[in-house]
Amino acid sequence: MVQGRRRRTEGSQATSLGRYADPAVLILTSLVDGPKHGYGLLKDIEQFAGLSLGPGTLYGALARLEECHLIEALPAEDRRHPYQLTATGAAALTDHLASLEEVAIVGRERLQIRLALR
Amino acid sequence: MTRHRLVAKAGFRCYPQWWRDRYEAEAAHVAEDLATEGRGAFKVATSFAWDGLKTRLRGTPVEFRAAASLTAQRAGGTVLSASAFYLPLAVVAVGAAGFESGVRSWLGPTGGGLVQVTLIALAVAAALFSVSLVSSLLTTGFRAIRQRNGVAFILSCAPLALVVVVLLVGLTDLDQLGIVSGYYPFWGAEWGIFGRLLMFQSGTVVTGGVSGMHADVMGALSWLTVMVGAALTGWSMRRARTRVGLPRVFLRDESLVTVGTAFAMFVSWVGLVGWGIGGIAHATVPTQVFCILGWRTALCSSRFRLAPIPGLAWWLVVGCMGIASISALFAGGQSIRQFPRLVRRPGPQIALLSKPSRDSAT
Repeated sequence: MVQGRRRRTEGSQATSLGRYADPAVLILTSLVDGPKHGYGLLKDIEQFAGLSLGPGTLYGALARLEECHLIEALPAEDRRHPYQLTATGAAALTDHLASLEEVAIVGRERLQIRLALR
Repeated sequence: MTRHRLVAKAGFRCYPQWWRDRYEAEAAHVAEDLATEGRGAFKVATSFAWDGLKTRLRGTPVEFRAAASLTAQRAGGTVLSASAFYLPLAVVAVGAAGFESGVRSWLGPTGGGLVQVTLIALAVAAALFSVSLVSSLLTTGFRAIRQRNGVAFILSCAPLALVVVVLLVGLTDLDQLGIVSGYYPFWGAEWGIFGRLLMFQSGTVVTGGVSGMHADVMGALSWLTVMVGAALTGWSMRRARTRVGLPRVFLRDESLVTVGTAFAMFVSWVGLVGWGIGGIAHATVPTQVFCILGWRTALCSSRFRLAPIPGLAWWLVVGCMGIASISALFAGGQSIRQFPRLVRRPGPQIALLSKPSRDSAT
């Protein structure tokens, strides 16, 4: 029973982003349009999300994503490893964005009701 | 090296080794890019340091754990070789603690000549150097070191000869051979200059047992030997790392063992010899053995899974040290009982700087 629960937890950790969702989603989203290295990711995220990630946060998320096989490192170019999205990563991002979209729809609907009641 | 890079490097130190091996080079690149962009060095370093601590808490990923276990056999072999080298020293320590002149006479050894001091210095330096070379040999592989570092390969054969020498010396009465005037070869290291300084300052211990200048010179030289040995160890490990790709984690652990051993020797000299308890001073040799083996074992077992044979060697040495320590404590107890009588006795035996003759020792 416990073993089964542990296995389920490990399995769900491998595909879901969990509490690392925010920087991880930003990185995965940035990698959708092609491989990028660390600094490129930081600049891209800054551009499309208006967020300035710390380098420590970036590498923490990169290590986590690589461990879960959601991204993979390409051969180094001048000590920089470009990262690219894997198929699992693309699927995980799709799922996560879909759930975010559902939350966004529900949130908007409830906000409209609340505003209408005032 | 720029200030940015130095500060970022301080942040990288918070990460576990597997992360540094995998990500440090490219993260340093990112830190440099951010520096040219104008982001503060401290902010970058703090970001890395904070994430480093979080990474440590998360633990090692499975694939890096697998890589560590691949090197376990080599690490085990290294620990075995290092342990095997120090086993004869433990035997010497067991024999020395109950040696007659250390137990019954306050005069102790009369110090050694220049040749003896040089021999001791060379032996200790060779020991430290050889251990580091044997470690690098086993860690990197016999073939690799032969192909790419011929000198290291030749020198790495030295410990085998050294073990035989130490065994022979330890089991021989050096007085009869006329090589050493008084005791076994580690006396100079035990009765170090720091212990003597403490004795002079406290003014309580005036046993007249040590011939002033000789003992000081021996102590200073033995300290110098330890430092030279430590430097040689560091140099050889660094050389091995750059030439044959020794893992960085091993280099760091070896350095820790060397520096830690030097520190423990200092503490044991000041703490035991400084109090003038001659018998207990013998415990410093087992202390050195204990420190070297204990730390090496602890560090390696934390990095790699220890093989059973080094573990067995470790427990053997612990047993030897236990016997040595009990024996040394017994000898120290006898010395303490003799102490008041000797202090009351006037004459050259309690003169600080007078050199006692061999006749008065007996």
